[in-house]
Amino acid sequence: MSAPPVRPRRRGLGIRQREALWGFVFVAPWLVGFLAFTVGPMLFSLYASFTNYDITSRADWVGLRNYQTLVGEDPRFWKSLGNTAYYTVFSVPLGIAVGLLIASLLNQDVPGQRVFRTVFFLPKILTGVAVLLLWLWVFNPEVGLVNNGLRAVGVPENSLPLWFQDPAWSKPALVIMSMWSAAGGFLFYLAALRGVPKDLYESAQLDGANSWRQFLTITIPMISPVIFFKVITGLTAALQYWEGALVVSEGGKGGPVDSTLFYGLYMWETAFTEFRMGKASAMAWVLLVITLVITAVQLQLSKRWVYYEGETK
Amino acid sequence: MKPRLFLIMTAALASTAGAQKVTLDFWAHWGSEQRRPTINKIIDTWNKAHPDIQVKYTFVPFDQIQTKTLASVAAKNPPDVVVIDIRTSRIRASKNQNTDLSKLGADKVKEQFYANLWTTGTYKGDQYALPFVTESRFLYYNKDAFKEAGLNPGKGPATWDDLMAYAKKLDKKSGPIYQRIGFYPLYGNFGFEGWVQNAGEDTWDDSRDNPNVNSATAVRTLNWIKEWNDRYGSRTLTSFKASFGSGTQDPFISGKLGMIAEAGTYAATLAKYAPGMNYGMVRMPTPTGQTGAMTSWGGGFNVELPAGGQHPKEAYAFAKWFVTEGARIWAKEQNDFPAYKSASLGITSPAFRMMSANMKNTFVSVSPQYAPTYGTYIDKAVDEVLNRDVDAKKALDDAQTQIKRVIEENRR
Repeated sequence: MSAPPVRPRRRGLGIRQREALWGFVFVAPWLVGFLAFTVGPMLFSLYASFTNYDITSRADWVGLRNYQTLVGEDPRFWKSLGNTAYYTVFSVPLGIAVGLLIASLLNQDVPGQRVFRTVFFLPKILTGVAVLLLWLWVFNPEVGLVNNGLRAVGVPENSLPLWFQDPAWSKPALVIMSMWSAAGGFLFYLAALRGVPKDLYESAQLDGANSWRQFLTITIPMISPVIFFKVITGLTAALQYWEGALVVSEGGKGGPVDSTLFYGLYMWETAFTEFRMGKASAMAWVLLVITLVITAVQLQLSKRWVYYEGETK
Repeated sequence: MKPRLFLIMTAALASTAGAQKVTLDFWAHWGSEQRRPTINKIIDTWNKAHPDIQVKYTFVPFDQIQTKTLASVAAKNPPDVVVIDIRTSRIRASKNQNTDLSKLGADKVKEQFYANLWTTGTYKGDQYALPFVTESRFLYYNKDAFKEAGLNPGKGPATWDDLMAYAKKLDKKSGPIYQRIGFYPLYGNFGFEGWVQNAGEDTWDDSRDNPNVNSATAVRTLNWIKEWNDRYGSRTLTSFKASFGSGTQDPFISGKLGMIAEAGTYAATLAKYAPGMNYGMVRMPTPTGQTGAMTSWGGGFNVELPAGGQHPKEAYAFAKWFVTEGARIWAKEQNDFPAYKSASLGITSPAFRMMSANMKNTFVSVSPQYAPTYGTYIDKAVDEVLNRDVDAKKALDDAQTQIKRVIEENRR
């Protein structure tokens, strides 16, 4: 009859709760920063997008007017959206193709591979305005490297592109420029390529698959999560791209003839030259919605082509 | 007991001293090797004479000073005094971003400044900025090239027709490639609007609320530029421009251009990079040879007290001294043209005297409050006419419509 007395249940938190609490304590610095510096300003900009807020003199509720003006009356809104779409459509797929191509080359067993890898990684380190200024010279119509090359292969003087001076060529020039820094992104693909099991290729070879076939049916599916990651981050970055235009266009105004007026540049101009924070906030939210929709579509599509380890389709 | 009393006394002394001594935060975009010593000298002079109002100088890069000032006003922690773009003072006044200086007594000093500069800071009858410096544009021509082309190096062009005739003589080609272009109106630093004003009509009305970019004068001017453009060819002009550099690679210094429209301070550039260059400097040629109030134009800087500063009285005292006595030092050392009349009298260099004489023909345009970015619509019209063969009237009509729409949108 001397059963041990029932131990009183411990007051306070269970082990899981305590763990959760500590978890929150450790993420608190980030959480506070996120709430104060990201969510707060975002909510404020959402509110501001329904006002004529100009920072210092007014903030009256105007309902949907900013959105209506953008969509219905402002040709530069559509122009800038078009420019950004153009840049995204070309720079993202081309950037991925270039990165993947370079990664495949750097995955070959050749002497001096380490040197090549270092060389191809350099563009990632050298970024910013200095590089943009360098490209301005590369694309200089008179003395630039590109046009000198074109001259050398016999392109007549009057057909040489004027690049940043010509509205038809300014965006292609920026896309070409973006390839250069995209090349440095090979590291992601290379890491993934190294992780593809060799035996898969061996069995494919036994079945008689040539190397292109192997690339399409083994390599691509095996590294598809990395490609997908680059698609999503690449799209988001391309939709926000505009700093290049600030440097390459005269006076940073997005010329010639608004051909490099990217969405971000127009938004910045609206906010800080015209002081129209309400309209600029509306533009920011339009861009956010566009980005969300595109990402959602990509997530849906990814179910068809992205394979995670151990998954069968 | 004794140490305690001592402490109380020191504290009391310190607090009264603290109440009297004020430190002003002063922002400007001068940080270069050339500018910095002068601004330091001006501030040291003030600080020595005013132990109670000490000024602390902060260099803010030129392209950031407007946004940083705005952000500091929004954060209610602005600098006390700031040097800022002359064209946009009224816009800031309309948006409560700067302080009403009339309440601090600014109207009393009005007469001491050039009127065209003073009004850049006037909004609804009150003064929101004190003018500091401006400049004016001139036509520079290469005397050696003039001699070579059989032109009289002692006489620059006076009319638009002269300009065209001289340019034709100055052009130099080898085969289809231009070695030297005599003149092109959109090279250098004058711009399409500068030429419209030079021809006698402003692109805005006086209130700067109603655009006038499609006037008959503007259409005529654009067609005149088109004539130049067609003579050289769009493509030639664009690729020729791409070869321009700065310093010794400047197109005028390197001999690529026979004549160029540039600011008065360009004389200093020439002195630095081409000290031996044989050049002439004349007022901007006009359609008829007659000069008017808008024959040339200038930009410049005002001094403002951003809204919400802690020490408006002291800040105004410093600002007033800075644009008068400070401008005296600045003009002497930096060759910018001071808005303070008496500061401009003591300097005798030829370029400076020319600038002084040209002030009555120099237009300082103020940015329109409801369409500060209207220039992009004009640029587009000019490009369409020159490079895409659109009719000048139609292109400028479109620009006018777009600018009106923007104003409408911004007024709401």
